Amino acid sequence: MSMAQTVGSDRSPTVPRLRLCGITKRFPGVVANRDVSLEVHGGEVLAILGENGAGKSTLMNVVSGMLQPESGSIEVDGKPVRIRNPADARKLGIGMVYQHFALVPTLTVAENLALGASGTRIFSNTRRIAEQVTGLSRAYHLEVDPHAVVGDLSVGTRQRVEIVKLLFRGAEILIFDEPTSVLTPVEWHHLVRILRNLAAEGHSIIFITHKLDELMQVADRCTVLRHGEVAGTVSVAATDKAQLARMTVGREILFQVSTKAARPGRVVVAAEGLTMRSDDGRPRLDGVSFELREGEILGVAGVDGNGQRELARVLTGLDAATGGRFRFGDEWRTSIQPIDFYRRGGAYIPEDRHHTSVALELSVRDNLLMKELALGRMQRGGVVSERAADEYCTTLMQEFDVRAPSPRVRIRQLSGGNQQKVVLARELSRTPQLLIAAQPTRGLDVGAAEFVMRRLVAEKERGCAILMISTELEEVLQLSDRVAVMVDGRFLAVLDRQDATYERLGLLLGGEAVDDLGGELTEVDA
Amino acid sequence: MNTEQLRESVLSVALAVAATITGVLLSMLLVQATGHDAGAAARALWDGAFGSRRQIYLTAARMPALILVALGWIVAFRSRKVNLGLEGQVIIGGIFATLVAVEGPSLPSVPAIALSCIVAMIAAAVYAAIAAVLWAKRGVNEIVSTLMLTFIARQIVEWVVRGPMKAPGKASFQSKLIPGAFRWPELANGTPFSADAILSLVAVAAMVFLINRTVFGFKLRLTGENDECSRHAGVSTVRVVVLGFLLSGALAGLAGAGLVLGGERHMLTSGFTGNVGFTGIVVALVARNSPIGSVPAALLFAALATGGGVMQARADVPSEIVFITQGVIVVLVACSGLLVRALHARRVDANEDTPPRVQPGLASVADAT
Repeated sequence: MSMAQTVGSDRSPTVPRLRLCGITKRFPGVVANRDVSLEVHGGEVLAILGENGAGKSTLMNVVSGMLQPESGSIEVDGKPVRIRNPADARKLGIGMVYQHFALVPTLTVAENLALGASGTRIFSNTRRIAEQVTGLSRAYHLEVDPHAVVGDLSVGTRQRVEIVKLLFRGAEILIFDEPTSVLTPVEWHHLVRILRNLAAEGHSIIFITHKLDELMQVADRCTVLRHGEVAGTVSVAATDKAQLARMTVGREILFQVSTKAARPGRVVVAAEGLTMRSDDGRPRLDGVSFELREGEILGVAGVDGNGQRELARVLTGLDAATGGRFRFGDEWRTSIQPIDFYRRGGAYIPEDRHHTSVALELSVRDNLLMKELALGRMQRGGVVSERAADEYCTTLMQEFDVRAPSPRVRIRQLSGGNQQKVVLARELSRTPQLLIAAQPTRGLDVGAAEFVMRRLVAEKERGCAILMISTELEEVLQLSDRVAVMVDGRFLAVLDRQDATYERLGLLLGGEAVDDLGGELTEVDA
Repeated sequence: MNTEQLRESVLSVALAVAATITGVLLSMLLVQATGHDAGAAARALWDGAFGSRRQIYLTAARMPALILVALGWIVAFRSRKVNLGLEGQVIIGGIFATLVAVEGPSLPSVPAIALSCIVAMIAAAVYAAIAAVLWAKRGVNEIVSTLMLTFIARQIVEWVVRGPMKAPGKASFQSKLIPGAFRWPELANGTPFSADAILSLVAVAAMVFLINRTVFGFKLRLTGENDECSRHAGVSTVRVVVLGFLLSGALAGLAGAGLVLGGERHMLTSGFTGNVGFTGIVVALVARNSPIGSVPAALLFAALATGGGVMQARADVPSEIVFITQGVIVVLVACSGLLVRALHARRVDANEDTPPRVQPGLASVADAT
């Protein structure tokens, strides 16, 4: 078929198909990419590896025209280009497959392609499109039926429809943003074949991932991002997983919080085979068991979306488990009301500050008071005790150094760090027995993050049991007495602090089975 | 209240006034264009609303029901529930207030009125509860269910004034007259302006207190702003929303009771509400859901209603022009609401720590360090 002809064969093979030079992109308070340079050639699969928040997605959004970098340049086939919007990217032959597909479920594959086709007339020729889809599908073993309704297709097939869509639009540089998070192992092997095929035909593939195993299977080269900067670019044939894991997590420690060794007391919270299925039947939590004692921090390390959120929501009563049981206080249960969680001495710092932990349009004071009022405190006869409430707020704002012009301003007007201090103040004011802290330092600058971490350590030393969920390995390793590695809704391993090394955690998070660990680790230690 | 909120309130009031002036001007332009004398019409409108002591009392007498209905809307809307069935709840309240008055025990004035109002409030709250429970248990959209319940209430009132509650020996469809003890005392002799006006102002004060100072009001606001946050904080959000909804219905029922126990006619007829259950919603919208703001907003709509009648009689301008005026005002106020929000959003974004939401998903990327 004509579509399968080697693309870009008229171009010089030594000039990279796509080249990024010194890309810097800032968001208020965060540098998402700093001086990032990389290149990808025709016929090559380049993996971009990094932890959550390392800047992978931001970088790719710059390439696809969704974001504009502050500085740096982009070259396509050796010519400098400006990519102001996704349409520019498309014209340059750059296409991206997102984690969430942009397909209309009620239309057929061909109709979906007709929607975005360039030079669309009022009546687009779906039959001609269908023929092209069949051609492309055959050439690259995509197995896509142009007449199938998208809503009836499996996730893996929908992903292949997205690939067809890009090829149909003439994309030669294909970017895959964490494409495997939604795939079954069989679908993954199919995708590997497709990617290798595409590369063999001269396409350039950029493959964003945090899974070591996958990139070893599919990529030619790998560029590692860490904290928004390039930690290095290596040829996959000349490296191993251990080296990549080290490059990913880095070694430098930003700041040190001193913590005494735990002197664990009685068990505060325990779980046995805790399971939760979402509405589509996929297990979000898959048999989690642990015990957490007084005066101990159990860190839960893991890549976002591996069940940490669900674990916190089940334990705090926002969701109910569908299987297994847990105990906070005396009795075993599968669910708890949030108010009972707090009555028993629980405290909770949710991960999504703007959606769960604060009401942005309400005042700092209201946000500090909400749980006190829900618990029936600071009130008399159903009326808020203004003086007690004012005193409570002033004291907490001083103690936790919340910088706000007045307790009456909307919390929206505070910086992220100050918002998080409000949340921290609210939760710790009850001197909790159990604290569930999810991503407690996410989005905070170093100073605020350190403040939060110091407070967590202080609580632990007071005797509070803390379950700290974080995607930041450094944070987990610094604070935890034990580290649970969470992958696919399961605790893959629970390690004591002395056994938890960056390499070991990096390998576990990369999806390595526990059995493989021994061999891999000797290699690292050697 | 801090300076920012103060500035916002001042801005809202200024915009509402501007909208009113524009609305009147536009409708007068329409009057002129259809071949009438706009100046005479405007004068008639003004005289009708405020031209004499009697007209002022007539205007004022329309306000209590509008205010109570507006408060009913506001309390439900604090938890982001849309009670579009206030009209139906007004009707149910009116029916039960009449029932107590004409069939109930003979009592001295104060307990008589109190009993009648309380029964009306309970009945209307129960009627609102149908929609609230359907929402809580089955997720039925309250906008649709309350509106449908309004149609049912209208048929019920048609039926009762023709059948079970029809005054014997009368040719027209109406209930028996309300006995004297059950009538709201007149505040100005010979006019319908009666003591329920005082009650409605007390209700405004009570609502301000409820929303701003009580724990229930706090939970209502929290749930309305962010129900996920409210649930996470340990609030039984469904309970709070349902209670707010029942209170909303009760206020509409009180408005309905006022219409039959106060007013001029002292009886139940099928059209006794004069659509106050819908106009009151508009009052709340113009007041931008502020209980205090609903007083001047109710005055505006009451004035347009009394003035409109006089305008028709004196200047021969169809009183429907008044509906156009109302419509224009509502549209303008709605637009100015967007304006306020846009101005506010721009100021906030300037000092917001989190990145502007360029694209869903990007913000969370930037949020991570």
